[in-house]
Amino acid sequence: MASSGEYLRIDEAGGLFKVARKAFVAPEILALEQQRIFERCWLYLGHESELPKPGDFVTRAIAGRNLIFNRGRSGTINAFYNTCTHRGALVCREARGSARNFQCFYHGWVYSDEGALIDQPGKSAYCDKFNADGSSNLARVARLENYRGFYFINFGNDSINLHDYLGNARPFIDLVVDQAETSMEIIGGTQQYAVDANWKLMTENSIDGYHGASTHATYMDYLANSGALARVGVRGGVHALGNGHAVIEYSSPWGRPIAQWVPTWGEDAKQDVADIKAMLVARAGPERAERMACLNRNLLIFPNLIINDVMAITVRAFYPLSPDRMTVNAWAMGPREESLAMRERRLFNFLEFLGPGGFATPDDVEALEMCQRGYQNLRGVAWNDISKGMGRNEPGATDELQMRAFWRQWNALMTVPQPAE
Amino acid sequence: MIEKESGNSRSAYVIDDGVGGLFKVARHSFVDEAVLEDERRKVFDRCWLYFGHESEVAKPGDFVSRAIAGRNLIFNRDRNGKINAFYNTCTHRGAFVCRESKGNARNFQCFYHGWVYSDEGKLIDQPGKSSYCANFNDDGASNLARVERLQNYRGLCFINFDRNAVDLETYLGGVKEYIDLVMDQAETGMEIIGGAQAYAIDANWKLLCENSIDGYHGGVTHATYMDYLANTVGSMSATSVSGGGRQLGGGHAVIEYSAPWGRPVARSVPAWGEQGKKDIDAIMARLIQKHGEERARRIGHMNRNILIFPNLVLNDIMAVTLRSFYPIAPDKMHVNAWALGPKEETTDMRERRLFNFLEFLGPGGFATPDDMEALEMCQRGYQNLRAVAWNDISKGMNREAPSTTDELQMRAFWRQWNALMITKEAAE
Repeated sequence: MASSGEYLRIDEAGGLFKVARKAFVAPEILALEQQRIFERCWLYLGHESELPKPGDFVTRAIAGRNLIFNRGRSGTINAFYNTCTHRGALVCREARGSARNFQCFYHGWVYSDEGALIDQPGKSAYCDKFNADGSSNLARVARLENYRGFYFINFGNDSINLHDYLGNARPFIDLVVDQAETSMEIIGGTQQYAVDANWKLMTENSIDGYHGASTHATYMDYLANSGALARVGVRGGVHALGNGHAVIEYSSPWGRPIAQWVPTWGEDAKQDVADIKAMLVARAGPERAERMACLNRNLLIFPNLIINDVMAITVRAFYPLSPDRMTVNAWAMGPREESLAMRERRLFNFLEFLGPGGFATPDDVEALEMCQRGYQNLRGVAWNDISKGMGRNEPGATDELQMRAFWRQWNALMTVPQPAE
Repeated sequence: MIEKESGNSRSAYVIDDGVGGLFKVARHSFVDEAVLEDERRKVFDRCWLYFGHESEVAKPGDFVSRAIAGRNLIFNRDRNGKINAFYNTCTHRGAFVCRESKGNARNFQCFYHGWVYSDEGKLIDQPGKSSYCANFNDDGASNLARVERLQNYRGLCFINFDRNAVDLETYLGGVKEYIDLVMDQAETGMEIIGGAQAYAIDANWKLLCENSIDGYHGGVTHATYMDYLANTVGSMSATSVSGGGRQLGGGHAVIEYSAPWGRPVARSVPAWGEQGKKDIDAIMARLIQKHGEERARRIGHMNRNILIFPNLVLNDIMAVTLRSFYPIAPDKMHVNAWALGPKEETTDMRERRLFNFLEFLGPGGFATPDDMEALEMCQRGYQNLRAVAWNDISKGMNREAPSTTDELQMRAFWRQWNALMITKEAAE
């Protein structure tokens, strides 16, 4: 089957899959993405562990909106638009904290942690029934739902529910979350950085098993020279999970806090890892325990949430500021019950590979920015190639099936006929 | 020899009034985003653009990477000795396959997924090749893409993004005579002398076209240099700048003139001493032997500021500079400039050449900082666009033989620019 559209050219028989480079460059495509992707899809807002106590909040920019994610006094988790209903100023200017109320610093309107407008200076100058209908309370984001501690929002009212949206990605989220005996938590702090490249380049890159050996040669050398499991190459499989979600799952030479020992950790750690593995086996049975412990997962939740369960676990989301610039937020995740020693190994692994100071992310940022600059040659070279593994019965982790899954869904949303207004 | 100016036209950009002796250029041409967008399609996507000199890629494997009209390109000489122009982008996911500005390489390997291209642009390896269908790239669609056209005139390599453009020699037309006068200075060929001057100016790119062939501003803008010449170098102050300007068709133009400074090929000044005079006499004798008395004196003694439309400047003055520049925005350009000299030049004479080059040209010279200030002041002056909408380029309009300090050569540029800009594009 061959199909040729504005964005994708697919030739199943010929084994070719092409993506139009203008999708990374054109401002009008970004405008369309805002409407058809970011206003329709479930978007990751935050993790419940970021709000352990009533009053806890974080503020976050999601798809061009400024939002407050908090736990109200009754324990309910909320997603509010961070804007005073009076004249619009942000009612919360802190990145995180704990607050019973949010007071706008412009005219002093006060909202409770449940969003109700509870005070206005000069209240007597308003009519008696002002806000009787609640229209001057903090506005709530249309939808807020949670799967196993991951909170997502949707700006539209008519989307399918989160459970169905995640669909076949849920078992892979489970494989991550089930590593904890108690529950998973975000480990304090956020990595924030910007990349001068289109956001979809990061989507591709985050689940790309093909670039590791070439782009991250330094890290691979370092692993090989510092006592990793040199006999274990990167190998494994890849799954398109529907709705644009995709995953690669594979074995690797690096150490995993849950639960793959490497010589660099020393003999002491051997017992720690064995204990963790034994508890996993007790909870999940030997086969599932082995899969959780020794396989890595790079999981894309369409369109822009990455849960990478590799030498540590990172949760990463990113949004376009313009066609050639994105901001990235990334967090480390680990089991709440983790020992101090194992947490230290986890965070060392996290920082060693992931994030703006790690072995990998600077390589990747350079690669993505070089791609974006390469697209300046758009009129000479108009298409990307995402064909790897097209003709194979069982594509591997270094093939590109998972990227094709993303692009097929992206294309479906971008080209869906719109109802007449 | 001077072509008659027959202008009598009017567009949104140019008023060319031959009868009234007035030539006006709309200042919005220097300011509007929409004009720049149009220029990209109608000028830079249609004209032959200077890419590099063959001496920069002297040996097989030599390459330079260069940004031309918003594209990122590789200029290289392959293992068979052929010169190529490739788009610097991996056909897989688009990253640069070459991140160095110059060097020597048999292959280009993309550092993202490791695809490897030969110096002839062929995709010769992909990690995990067995995952692709057997006939992948049989049609060559995944080789490095070549720029649509690449041609060479006397060592100057030009590219064109338009497959249907006329060939380079036809395009150059009347300006070939002047390129020849520069290239004939060398017995063994001219070469780029190592290194490039790269700088940026907060002004529209066309201001540098005008400025590079403008004999009118010298006495005023570069008064410091002229004083310096008169007072310290011991040049012959009796020789003032005198000569003429010509439009050469196709927007190309030149001014040719005598001047008080020394020329490595071939005019000595007292500051070079007795040895300098001897060296110059020897060079001139060889020129006469090869080209005859008249042409030799023209090559050796006359200066030429040549504009090859739209944006290549070949200035053969106290040294030879090649300069090209591209707009980044209506009010910003990037400039690249190189020194050119005969391959056989002696060390002494090369030293005099480079001293002259650096003394006058480039961001540290006597002239370029003056010029940058002038162009940036023009650009800022255009902020008054709505009150003062037109530039005046009338100097010498009705003269039988316009001089070097007239503005004929700028009118030649603007007439061609205007002709391209008012062309209706064929429906796509």
